[in-house]
Amino acid sequence: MDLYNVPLVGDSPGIDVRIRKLTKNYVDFVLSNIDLSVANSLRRVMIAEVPTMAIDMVEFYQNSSVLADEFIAHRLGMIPLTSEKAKDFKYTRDCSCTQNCHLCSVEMTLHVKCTEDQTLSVTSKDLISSNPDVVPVLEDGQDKGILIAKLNKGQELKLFCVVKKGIAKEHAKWSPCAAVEFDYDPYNKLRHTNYWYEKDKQKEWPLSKNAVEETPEDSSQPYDYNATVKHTVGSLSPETIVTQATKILQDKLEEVQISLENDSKPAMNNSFEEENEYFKESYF
Amino acid sequence: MDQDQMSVDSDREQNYEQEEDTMRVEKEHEGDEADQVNDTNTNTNTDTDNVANNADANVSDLNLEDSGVDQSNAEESIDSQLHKIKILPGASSDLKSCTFQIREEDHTLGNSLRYMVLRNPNVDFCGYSIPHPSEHLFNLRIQTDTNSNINAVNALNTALNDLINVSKHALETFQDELESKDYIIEY
Repeated sequence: MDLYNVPLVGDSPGIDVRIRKLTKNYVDFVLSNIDLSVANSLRRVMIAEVPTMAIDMVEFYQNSSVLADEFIAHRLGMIPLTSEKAKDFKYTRDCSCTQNCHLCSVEMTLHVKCTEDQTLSVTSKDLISSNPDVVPVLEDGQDKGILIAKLNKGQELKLFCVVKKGIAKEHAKWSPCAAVEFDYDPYNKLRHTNYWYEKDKQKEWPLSKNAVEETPEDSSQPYDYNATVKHTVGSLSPETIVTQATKILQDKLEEVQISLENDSKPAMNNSFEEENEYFKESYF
Repeated sequence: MDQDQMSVDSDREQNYEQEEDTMRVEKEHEGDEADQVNDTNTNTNTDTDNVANNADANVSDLNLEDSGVDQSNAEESIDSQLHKIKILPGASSDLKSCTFQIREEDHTLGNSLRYMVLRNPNVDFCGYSIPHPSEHLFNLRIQTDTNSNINAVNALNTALNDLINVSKHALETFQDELESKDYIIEY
């Protein structure tokens, strides 16, 4: 099958990347000469396994607002924080400290009291971080911040947050991306889907904008994936997400490979000691 | 919270140890009885000792299983840290057809790894499955051509290397492409 003869890196041309568009929180690129499964792995890593920072624990000292403690805590967790330095932090579970320390966490405080007659909006701008590298994301100077709660006269909100590093596999609040679009085979040459239609298939199913990347249906030709990726929430830049995602994919593979080498040694030695010199020399 | 959890766990372990101790005491009694009965014949005596020992082993095995889910879960979590990957029982002796169990991974690795293994012309079959959605592991079955000198472990290793190289190359080309500035930039 054609699918399994796509050349690898050693051969030419190998996997190819072409960036079409890059903005502050959007990158659009085309991956070609690569199998769907690999492109999909990259997508999955970008969504769920790139670490970021997020508020994970909240202690309330004073909450006389109309919202319940746990409700506010949940809202705080969702606030995107700048996470370019997330890779320098440890996961709290891997850290040698007993609870949390500056190596695995950042502390944030918030203390707002409404003293005037009109309602007061508490936003992400009111959060005071202990680390200037990890602060609530603001789009620009005009950004008013993300609304956390509204206070009436006399109401007070005083709390303490612990920010931890995590991945979106555990909770979606740690996801660096808002959306990852992924499109392949715009002409449906592979027949991976059947289009339902009333009268005219061509009219009812307009071509995707990625159709320009491929020629209309004619014969078998190399695979081309239009991995139109993605919208970020601002905690990481889009190019960082892609870069880190490929690195994480490599780390995952290396972890399996190291374990494979270590764990398969006894098995290999038992059954292969005499018969097969080939393994001992060339592989382990 | 964490500390509470830990103290509960250690309590359980203590309970477990106590249970085991009581079992041991009982077994010793059994052994004594066997000794008394077979006192006259030394040969049979040693035999029964063996039997008693075997029984001990069996009982303690059972005890392990009976001592509750918590214990086995704890063992499993330790096991998963030690063994990212293991070969499931039932592999052929020449390792040309084996099922690997890879822990703490999912479709992200499973599908692309399956593809990479399948690229190898010496591989007859490769497939993966996630047996249960709540268990964070997948099984990868590889069967290689019996006439080739490649076994499943080699095939998997080659595939892992290939995939690492592919992602390294993807990273390099992406960074080159970023530096070339040959795209629409809006800020």
